[in-house]
Amino acid sequence: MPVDRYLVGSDGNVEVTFGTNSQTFLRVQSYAANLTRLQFDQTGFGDTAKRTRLGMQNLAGTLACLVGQDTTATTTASTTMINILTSLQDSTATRPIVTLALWNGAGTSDTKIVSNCAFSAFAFNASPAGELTCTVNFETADGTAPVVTWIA
Amino acid sequence: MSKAILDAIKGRLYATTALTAELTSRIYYNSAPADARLPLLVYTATVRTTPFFGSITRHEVEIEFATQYDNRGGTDIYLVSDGLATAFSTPITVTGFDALRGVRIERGVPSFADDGWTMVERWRFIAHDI
Repeated sequence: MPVDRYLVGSDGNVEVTFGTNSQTFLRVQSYAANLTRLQFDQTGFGDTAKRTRLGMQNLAGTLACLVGQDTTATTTASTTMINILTSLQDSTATRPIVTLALWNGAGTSDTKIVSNCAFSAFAFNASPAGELTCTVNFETADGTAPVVTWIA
Repeated sequence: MSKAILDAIKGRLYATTALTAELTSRIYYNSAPADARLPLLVYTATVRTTPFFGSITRHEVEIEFATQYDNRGGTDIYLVSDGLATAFSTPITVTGFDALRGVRIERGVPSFADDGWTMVERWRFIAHDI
């Protein structure tokens, strides 16, 4: 099959899943993500061209978000993303799953990058004139490579 | 523009005693009828929407409130301005949205022309459809 579709931003979606719960705590307006590998130069004597080897894959990036609140929840709710905002040592065995979809085809036909990530920084910006945004940094965290699903 | 948002704003204006004491029901969207009595309030709206992933949209509604008043040399026109502040001091419930919250972003200055005072002030209302 030929490529018959080119993607635009509004085709996509972002989901953050903490445990078994997909979170609506963060509403993402935009994201920037880098899917990278370390690259090692192993060129040696006798080679006639550059020889490289690649290391482990890593997903790192930033979510630009709105922050929500559940007015019916308590501050002790343990299954929400509130865990990652507290100052306690993070002992979560399973990292939140970040799913960055470039084409959100409802399941099987998605074009997406999925990785278990740690959130290392939250930058909050608020003004009484009506702006409250948050920038979150994420990065692959548990030794499992990001899973890239692509229809091409 | 969402009708629900505009209706909610209109409902709050009519439900604010500080405003209706001055204006009774002379609060109009876009244009007032000919020969309407003073004082009156006309408001016009523009909206900017920002889409988010997950089918949520942020609505920023900017509204200009134009007060027309007939008092001569008094400061009563500010009663309407203060009434607006009272009206929008708390969030407004809108069906289909999280809440509608208003902030005054420009306070008006009265000007006199054609035997009447006019003052325009601008507010920004923000809501997210959910």
